[in-house]
Amino acid sequence: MNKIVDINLRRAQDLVQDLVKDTAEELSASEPPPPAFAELLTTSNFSFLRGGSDPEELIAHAVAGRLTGLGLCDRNSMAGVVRAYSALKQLREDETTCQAAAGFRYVVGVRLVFADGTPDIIAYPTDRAAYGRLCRLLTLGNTREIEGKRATKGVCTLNFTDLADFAEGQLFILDPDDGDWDKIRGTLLALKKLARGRVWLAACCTFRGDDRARLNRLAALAREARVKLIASNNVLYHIPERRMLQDVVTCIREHITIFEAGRRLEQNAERHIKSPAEMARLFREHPDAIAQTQVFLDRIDFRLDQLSYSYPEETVGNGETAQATLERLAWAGAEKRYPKGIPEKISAGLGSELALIAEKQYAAYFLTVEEIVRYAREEKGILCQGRGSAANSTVCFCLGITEVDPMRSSLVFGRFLSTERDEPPDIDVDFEHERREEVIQHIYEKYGRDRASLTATVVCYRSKGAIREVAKVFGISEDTVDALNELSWSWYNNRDLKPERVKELGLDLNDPILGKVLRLAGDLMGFPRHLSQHVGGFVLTQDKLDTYVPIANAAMEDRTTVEWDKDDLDALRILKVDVLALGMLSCIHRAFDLMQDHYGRNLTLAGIRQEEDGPDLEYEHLDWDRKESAPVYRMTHRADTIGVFQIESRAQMSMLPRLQPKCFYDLVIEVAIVRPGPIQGGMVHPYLKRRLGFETPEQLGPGLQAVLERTKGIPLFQEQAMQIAVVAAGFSPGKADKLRRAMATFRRNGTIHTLKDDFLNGMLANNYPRDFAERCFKQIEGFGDYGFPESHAASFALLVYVSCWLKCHYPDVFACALLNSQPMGFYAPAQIIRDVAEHGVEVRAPDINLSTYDSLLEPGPRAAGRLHRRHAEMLGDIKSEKALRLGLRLVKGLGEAQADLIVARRGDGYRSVRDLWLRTGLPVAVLQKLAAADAFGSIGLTRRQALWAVRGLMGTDGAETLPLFTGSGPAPSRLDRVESLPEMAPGESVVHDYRTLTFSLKAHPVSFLRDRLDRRGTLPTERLLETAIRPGAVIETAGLVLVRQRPGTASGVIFMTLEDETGIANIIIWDRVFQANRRAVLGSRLLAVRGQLQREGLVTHLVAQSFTDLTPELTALANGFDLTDAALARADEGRTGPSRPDSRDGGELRRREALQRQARAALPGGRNFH
Amino acid sequence: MRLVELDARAEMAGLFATQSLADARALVPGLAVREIDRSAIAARFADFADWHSNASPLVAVLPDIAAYGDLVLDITGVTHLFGGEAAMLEKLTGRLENLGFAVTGGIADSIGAAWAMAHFAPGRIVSSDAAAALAPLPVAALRLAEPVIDGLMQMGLKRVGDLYGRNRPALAARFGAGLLLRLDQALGHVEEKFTPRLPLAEHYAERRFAEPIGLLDDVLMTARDLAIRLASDLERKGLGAQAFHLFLYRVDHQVTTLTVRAGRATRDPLHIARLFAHQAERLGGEYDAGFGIDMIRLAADTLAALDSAQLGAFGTRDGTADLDRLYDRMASRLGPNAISRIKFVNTHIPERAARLEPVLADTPDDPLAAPDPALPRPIRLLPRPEPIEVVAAEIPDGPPRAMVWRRVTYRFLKARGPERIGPEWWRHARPLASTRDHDDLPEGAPVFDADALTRDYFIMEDDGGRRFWLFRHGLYGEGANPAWFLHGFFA
Repeated sequence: MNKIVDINLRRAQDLVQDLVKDTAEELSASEPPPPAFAELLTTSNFSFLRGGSDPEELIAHAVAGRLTGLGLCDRNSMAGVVRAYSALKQLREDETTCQAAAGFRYVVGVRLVFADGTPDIIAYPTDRAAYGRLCRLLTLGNTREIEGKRATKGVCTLNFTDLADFAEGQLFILDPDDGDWDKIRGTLLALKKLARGRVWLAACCTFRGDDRARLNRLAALAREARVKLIASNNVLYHIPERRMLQDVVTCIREHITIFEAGRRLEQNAERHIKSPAEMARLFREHPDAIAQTQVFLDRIDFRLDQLSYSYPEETVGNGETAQATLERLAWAGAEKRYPKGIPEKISAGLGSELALIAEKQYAAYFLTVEEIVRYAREEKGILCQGRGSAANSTVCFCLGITEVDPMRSSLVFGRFLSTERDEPPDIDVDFEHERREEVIQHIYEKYGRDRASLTATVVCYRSKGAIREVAKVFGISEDTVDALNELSWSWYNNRDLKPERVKELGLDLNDPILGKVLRLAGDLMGFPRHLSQHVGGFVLTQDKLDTYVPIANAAMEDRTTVEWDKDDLDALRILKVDVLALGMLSCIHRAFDLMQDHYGRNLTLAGIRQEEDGPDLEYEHLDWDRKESAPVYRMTHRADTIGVFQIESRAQMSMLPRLQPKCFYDLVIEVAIVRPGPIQGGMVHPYLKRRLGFETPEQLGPGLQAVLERTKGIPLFQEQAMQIAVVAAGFSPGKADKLRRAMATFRRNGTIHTLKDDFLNGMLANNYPRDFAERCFKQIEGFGDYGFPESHAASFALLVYVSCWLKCHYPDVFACALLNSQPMGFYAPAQIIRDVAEHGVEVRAPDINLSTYDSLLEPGPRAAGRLHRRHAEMLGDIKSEKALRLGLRLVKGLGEAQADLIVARRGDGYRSVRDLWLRTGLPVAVLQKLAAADAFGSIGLTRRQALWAVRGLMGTDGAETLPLFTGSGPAPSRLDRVESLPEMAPGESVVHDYRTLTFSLKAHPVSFLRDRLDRRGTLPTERLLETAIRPGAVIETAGLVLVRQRPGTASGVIFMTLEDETGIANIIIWDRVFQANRRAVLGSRLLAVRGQLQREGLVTHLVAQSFTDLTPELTALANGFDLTDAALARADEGRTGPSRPDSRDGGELRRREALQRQARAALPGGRNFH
Repeated sequence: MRLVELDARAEMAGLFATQSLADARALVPGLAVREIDRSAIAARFADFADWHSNASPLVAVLPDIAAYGDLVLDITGVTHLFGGEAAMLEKLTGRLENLGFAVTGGIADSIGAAWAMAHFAPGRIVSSDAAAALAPLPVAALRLAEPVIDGLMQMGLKRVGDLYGRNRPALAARFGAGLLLRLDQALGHVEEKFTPRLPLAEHYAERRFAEPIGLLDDVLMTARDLAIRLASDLERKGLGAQAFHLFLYRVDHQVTTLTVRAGRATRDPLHIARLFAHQAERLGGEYDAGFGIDMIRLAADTLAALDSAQLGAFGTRDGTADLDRLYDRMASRLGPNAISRIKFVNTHIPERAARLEPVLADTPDDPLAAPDPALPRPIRLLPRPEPIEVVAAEIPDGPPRAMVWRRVTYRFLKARGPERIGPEWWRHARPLASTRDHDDLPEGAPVFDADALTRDYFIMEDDGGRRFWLFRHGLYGEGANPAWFLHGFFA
C-alpha cells in the first residue's frame, strides 16, 4: 500500500509543478484576478466505484488551479481524508510547490447518503468536537443492526432522524439532485431547523440545457428558506479526461457493459475541478454563491492535525507513571535475563533507550505490548515473539517481547526509534496462528470496543483485477481476459511486451477496444476497491476511538476496524500494535507439549537458545563442533531441513551446504541471504566466496568497515544498505529512508535518478572508487521491500534454530507437531512422513481404533537404530523412542468433529464396521472415506472388505438400517457377509493410499515400476549422489513430480523435484528446453528425465535435456493391472477390436480419460508455478 | 474453467477433458478454445438424430450419459433394406465417417448391449448370448453413473463378467437397484423402451396419398384442407398456435419441413394457409418433391389458450389483432427483416436514441431508454447534421446571434442552452491517452491523439418564430476552430 501512496504523492507533486508553471503564465496574461473559490463537493475514489480520482490528485489539482481550498467529502466515509491531508503536507514541504500550497485550505467532511430517500447532505465539522460527533454518526450507521442482524461490512445505514443528535458544530450543504423539488424543499427546511445559520444549498451547472433556469430556481428556493446558495461543481474527478475512467467504474458498479450503460453514465465531462475564473463565469448571475465558499471555509476551524492523539495511559494504579513502571519492569527484566549481573553494554543501552522513550513519551505503548505478551504467555500459555525492527531494542528484550540477545548481536536501535526520524515506533509480535484470536479478543476486552479496533487495509485494484473488471465492462469474454492477464503479467512484471508473445495469445494490440482496455486498466490500477481488515494491527486510544475515525464491522464476527490504514495512522502519528500470526509458533508449542508428555522435558524458546549460547560468553570462543549445538548445525550442512522454519525451501536447501552455518549469526545470515533483495543485488556469490576464503574483503575505510564487517563487506541486511548511504554517501538518515522508499516503489521515476546521482557523487566525494560506488548502489537497489532487516532475520533465526533442534534430536515429536499444524510450510504431509520414517521413526497408519484426529506418539522402537543410511551420522543425536501414529485428520474429507466423535464413542474399541456405524451414527459417506483410507486394519478388514461392508450399510432393507437393537449388540447381517472380492494388487493399493491419504506407508508407487525402469537404464535418484557418477555424465532418472518452480529471480529457469522410492532428485530445466518440452514438463505426474549431472559440494542437480512422460504407466498401476502381468495388459489393449486408426473410439477414450482422471486425482499433482 | 471436449490435435498435444484451462494454456500456449454451448449442441444433435429417420422410423437420443452423443435406432424389420445387419451398420457408420464424423456403432438385441458394443467393442454385432459378449467389457459398459463405476472399481469388480452370479441383494444394497437394472437391461432380461424423436404432435392433421403427389399447388391445397381440420380440432379445445409445421414425407425416405410463425396465437385456417403460400413463394426453386410425396402432416406448435369468443362477430376489436395479422402476412411474404418499427435506445447521443427494428423481434424494451422529458428533443431530426455559418457566438459557450443555412440567413431572438453532450468515446477507433503517468508503456503501444469532440446544443428561435436545434461541434480550446451544425427543427 505504501507503494500506491508514494506513487500518488509523487504524481501529485509533479502535477502541481507542471500546472503551477502553466497557470502562472496564464495569470500574467489575464488582468483582473478571479474571485476566490473553493470546491466543497468532491467525491474521490474512496467513494468506491463512484469517484474517478485519488484524493491526492484532487488536492494537487486544486492547489495548482489556484483554488483557495478543497473539501473532501466521500460517501459516508472518512477513508480517504488522510490521503489528501498527507498529499497537501508533502506539497507544502517540497520547495517547488510550497509556495502554491502555502495558503491552501483543506477541510474534511463527509457526504451523508441516507437510506430513507433524503437527498444527500454534505457535513463539515467546524471544530474537533464536531468532527468527533461526525465520526460517531458514521460509526452508528456502520454498526447499526438491521432486523436484529449485525451490520454487513461496507454498508452504512443512516436516516435523516439520526442527524439531530450529531448536528451540533457541523456546517451542512444540501445537494439537490434533480429529482423531487418538494423533497428538496422539505429537507432544506428541516435541516434549517436543525442547524440555523449553518446550512447552504449547493448550486452546480450541469450543462443539461437549462442551467440558467435551474440556478434561478435554486436561488429562489434558497431565498425562501433563508439560506445561502453555494457554488460547486459537484466534482467526481479532477480533470475532464477522467470521464472515461469514471464511466468505467460506473459500469463496474452497475455490473453492465459500457455499450448498454447509456444514460446511466454522465452526459458530459463537466464534473471536474474548475478554475475560479471559469466558476465565476458560470455563476456570473450569482456571484454571492462563489463568495460563500470563502465564508464557509472561514467558519471551519478544524484540521486533521488537531487530532491530538492520546494513547491509553497504562498506569498500574499505584500512582506510578507509565515511564516509571516501564523503567521498573525493564530493569527487573534485565536482572532476570542476566542473572550473573547486568553487563555494561546492556545497562548503557537500557539507559539511553529509556531516556529516548521518556522524551518521546512512548512508555505507555511499550507497556501495552508488554501486557499483551505477558497475558498471552503467562495466562494463556501462547507462544509469542516480537519481530521486525523492535528486535533492535534492548528494552523490548528485557521486557520479554523479543528474544534476540543484544549482548550477542549488534543492534541498531536507531532503526527502531530515533530522535531525527519522527515516526512512531512499530512493535510487531507473532503469536501462534491458531490462538491469536484469543489475544485479539483479550485486547478488545481490556480496552473495550470503543477504544480498540483493528486497522484497515485498503484493497486496491492490482493489474489482474483491473484488467478483468475493465475487460468485463467492454464485454470481452473471460477467455480473452485470461489471455490478457498473461499479457499484463509479462507487461507489468517484466515490462517487456514482445509482439510475438502478444500474437501467441491471439491478441492484436492495434485493436481499438483492446488498446482502450489496457489503457483504462492501467489507469484503474491502484484505485482502492474496498476496505479490509489489517492482519493484526490494533489502534488503541485513551478516550473514545470513534471520535477519531469511524469504526465499522469487519467481515469476521466479533471484529471491528477503523477506516484508516497504517499509512494514514502513521501520517497522523497514531500508534498501533501489531498482533500477527505465525504457524511455526503453533507447531513449536505442540512440540513442547509433546516433549513434556512423552519425554518429560520442559522446553522453552529461551531455554533452547540458552543451550546454543552456552553457559557463558567464553563458550562462544569454543570450536563450533565441540559445542552442544554442533549436531543441530551439522544437520543443516546436509540440507536435512524438511519442515524446518524458513530454511526448508529449495533455494535455502541448496544454500545450506555451501554456507554451512556454524553459529547463530550464520543462521541470521542464512535467513536473510536467500531473499529476492540480496539475490537480485548480486550479493550471494561474493559473500559465499569470501566466507569460504576464496576472496578477501576489500579495505573499505573505517566508516564502512564498521557497517559491513560482520557480513564480510557485503551488505545483506536492509539496515546496512541504509547505513552505506549515510556513512559512505553522506546522506541524512531521512534522505536514506527516502532512498529506501524510492527503491521500493517504481524503478523508473525521476526522483530515483537524482538520488542515484547524489549517492554516487557522495561516495566519490568520500574517495570511494567509482566502480565500487556503482556496485554499492546496485546492491542497495536490490533491497527495497525485498530485503530483511537484521533484527527481523535474527528473530526468525531463533525459530529456525529451535525447529532444527527439535528435528535433530526428536524427529518423532517434530513430525507429529508439524503434521498437526498443517497446512503449513513448504511440504505436504507425504514428504514429512517419508522424512521422519527415514530418520528411523516407525510410522503407523491411521486407524479407527487407535488414532485420534491429531497424530499421536505411541511407544515404539528406538529411532536411532533404524536410520536410513543417508542420515547415518545422526546415530548419536537422535533420541526418539516413539512411533508416530498418524491421525484421522490425514484422511481426506474427514472433519475434526467426526474424528472426535469416533474417539469419544470408542470405549474398548469397535468390533466391526456396523458397530462403528451404530455407535457413532456417522453418515455412511464418512465411513466410506475411512474405509477407502484403509483405517479398519485393527479389526482385520482390508480396504476392499471394509468398503464392501460400508456400502452394505446403505442398504435396501429399511429395517436393518435402523439402530433399533443397540442393546443386544449388532447382529451380523446376511448382507454383511464378506464377499470373495478380488484381491487388490500391491501397486493398486498404494495408488489408493495416495488417493485417500496423499501418501502410502506400504511402498512408493515408483517401486512397482523399478524393473521396467531398470530395463530402460533409468537410475534410482539416490544413485545420483554416488561419487562414481561423475559430473557431466548424461544419465536418466525418474520419479513422481513433486514441485515445479519458476522463481521470478531466475529468468525463466524451472526447478523441478522428482521423488522415487529412494529419495528425491533436483532437476534444472532451462527455458529453451522447457519450451520444447512443455507438455512433458507441465503435464506429467511420473516423469523420466535425461540430463547432465552437476554437482556442487553436496548439491546435485540434473540439467535436463530430454523427457519421457511415464504417467500412463502409473495409470495402468492405478487400474490394478500389475505390470508384470503382460498378458492382461495386452488384453486390455486388444479389447478395442480391430484397430481402425481413422475412426477413433470416443467411448473408449472417454473411459480412458476417466481412468486417467482417477489416477491423476490420486497422485500428487506437483505444485505448479502458475 | 475446464476443458470438456477436444479435437484430435489437442489430444495429441496431451490435453485431456476435465483439465483446467489454465493448465491447458500452460501446456499449449496460444490454445484456441471456445466456450461450450451444451444446449446448442444438444439441439444440433437432435436435428442430426432426425436425419436418421431415413434409416429407421424409430430413432432416439439416449440421454443416459450426455444430452448428445448417443443415438439409438430400432432396426427391427428394416435391415433387409440394407442387405443385412452387418451391411447396415457399415453403411450407416461409413456414411458418417465420409462426412468427417468420428463414429462407432454396434448391434445387439438390447439397447444396453448395443450401447456397450458401440462404446467398448465397436463394430460388433451380438446376435446371441449377450452375456458372453458383455463379460469381458469394463463395468462402465453398463451405462452407470461415475460414482457407481468408481465404487465397483474399488471393490475390484471391473468387468461386467465379475458381476455375474453375485449375490443380487448384496449388490443392490451397495450400488443401488440401478446397477442390477442396467445389467438386466443389457442382458435382455428386462425390456427397455425408448421414446422416439419426432414424437407425433398432440394436435395435427395428416393425409396419405395412394399415389405420390409432387406439385407445389397440390401440397398447398392439401395444407389448406389440413388447416381447416386442425382448426376445428383446436377450436374444440379453445387453443391457438403460434407455429405450424408442414411435414412432407417423400417416398425416398426424406422429410421436408415447412414452418411458419404467427405474431400471436391463431387457428384461422385461411391465415395459416396463406402464410404457407407466402413461405412457398419465397422457397421458389428450392422446393423439391423428389420422387413424390406420399404423406403430408400439419402439426400445431407453441400452443396457447385462445378464447373462441374473441373471434366472434361482436368481439372487441382494438385493431392490434389486425395489425399483427398484417405484420405476419407482410413478414412471411417479404421476409422478417422487411417490416420495422421504431425503438428507443438508451444513449445520450440524439441521433442514436431511436432505431428501427423488425416488428417480429421480441427484444424487451429497456425501461431506461424512454426519452427524458427534461431534455427537449426536436420533432424532426435531419438525417445528418448540416453545416451552418454562425455569427457572433459568445466564447466559450454562448449561442450565436444568427446563422446561414442553405444560403438563407436566420436571425435569432431567443436561445436556450447549452446542453452539453460528450462523445461516446468507447466507439471511437482512436486510442486513449492515459490520465495517470505510466512511463512503462510497452514499445509500439497506442499513443494519444486528441480528437474527442463534445457538442453543445442550443434551441434557437428566430424572428419568424421558427425554432431550430443546432450545435457547436467541439469546445473552444478542445480542437481547432469548432464547426456549427443544424441538427433538427422544433416547429
